Amino acid sequence: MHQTNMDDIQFNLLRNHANRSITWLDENLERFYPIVDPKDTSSLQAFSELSLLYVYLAEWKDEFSAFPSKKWMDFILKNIERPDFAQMARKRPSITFSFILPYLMMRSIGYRSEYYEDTLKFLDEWAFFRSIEVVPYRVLDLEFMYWKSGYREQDPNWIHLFNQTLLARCKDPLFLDDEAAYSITHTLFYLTDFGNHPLILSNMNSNRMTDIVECLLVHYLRVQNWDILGELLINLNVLSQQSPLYKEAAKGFLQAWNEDGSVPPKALFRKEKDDFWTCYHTTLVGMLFCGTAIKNNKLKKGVLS
Amino acid sequence: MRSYTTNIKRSETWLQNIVPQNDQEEKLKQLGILFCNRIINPADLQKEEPASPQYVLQHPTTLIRMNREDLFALAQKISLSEEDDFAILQEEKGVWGQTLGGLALSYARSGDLIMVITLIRAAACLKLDHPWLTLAIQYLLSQQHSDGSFGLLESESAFSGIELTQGIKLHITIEALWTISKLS
Repeated sequence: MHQTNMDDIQFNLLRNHANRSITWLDENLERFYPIVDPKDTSSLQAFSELSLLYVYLAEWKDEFSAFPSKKWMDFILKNIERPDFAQMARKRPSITFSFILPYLMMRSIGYRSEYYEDTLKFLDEWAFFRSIEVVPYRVLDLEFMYWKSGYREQDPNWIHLFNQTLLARCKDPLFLDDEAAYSITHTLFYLTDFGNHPLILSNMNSNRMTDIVECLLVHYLRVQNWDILGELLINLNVLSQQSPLYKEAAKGFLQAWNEDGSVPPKALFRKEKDDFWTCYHTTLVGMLFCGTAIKNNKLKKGVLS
Repeated sequence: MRSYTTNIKRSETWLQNIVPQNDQEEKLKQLGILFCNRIINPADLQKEEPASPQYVLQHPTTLIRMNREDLFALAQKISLSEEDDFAILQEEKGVWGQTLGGLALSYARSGDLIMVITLIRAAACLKLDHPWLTLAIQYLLSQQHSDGSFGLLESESAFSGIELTQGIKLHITIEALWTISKLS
């Protein structure tokens, strides 16, 4: 088959899966409503993750016809601007990041709120960054979100931040468990801004990272953990690596999609009537996979610069 | 080539010292000693002329989604066949090494030593080499006791209540020695 036709088929397959997922997410949009409960921040996390996806989807919106950009933006902003939500970042400093993150995401695409800007200044005065205890990839997470939002004028020291993470330290993949795999996938998300900026590390480091990611890919494809597998595939998209292992894993991941567009986190997951909370995260991951795969392929073809 | 002499001499001592409880254990013991001799003295092996392959294996990455039983059966079939019965496409050699090495490490993560042993052996029979296979071999060697036997099965024994008999240890040790003999 002619190369262009093959690319078109792949693009169409990815677009089709992504559009189905967008439809499922859109039908469940109100489920992302962030409940202000300091004892349970799970709905806040889902809302933050939706706002992150929104920012990248807004970049790729021409690829996905089903994406109701304005509706999702209105939903996110309506909740960010809710007084009970907005006040929490100042009222409960110990969980402030959960409440500030959606604003940082929306700030990255031009949204501004005087109230939140003041909150960010308060956080600086309180030395928020120096007052928390988190694992190294979460430090990178925090720095990335601030950088992405445009609030900081200077770039963080990416190499210093990377060097603290597990991905920089681990010698081989044998000891890596699920938590470690998530640490690795997130480190690569932030270092590359999901493919928006090239990896600033040496070729040797890049090859070593590809090796670790591909080794994990074999494991998570074998055990059919679609959530971690999807994140690893995003990593390989942004590292521009499409080996036979990648292709097999991508095929498996796309086959795991439910008909309604949701993506189950694991194999043998019994579909239930209400599976929103089980499937939402892997579905967001699936969307990011489709978006980064299309973007990477277009970059390779020279369609994008 | 890596030397396995220390590991093998330890296993040989363990095999020499065990007292077989039945005819099957006696045969396994003798087989194990034979493997040890072959590993330590590879020159004694009679090299046969390679035959034409009967099967050409393709699409290595499809193995990743095979269930354990099917993968085990295929790997055993490769190991038990005549040398060079199975062949792989030269251009797919790297992916084969990567796939079998990655799978061996994946099963190592689950503590499934028998699968690790079987996959390394199949890879050795296909004359594959990959850093992930090297890492899997290191894992295999780390599963040897100081007395020379293989298999760290105390937790399974404690959990299941099944006594860890000499026969079980013998079985795993022979599997490990068979694999190492293919690597040597």
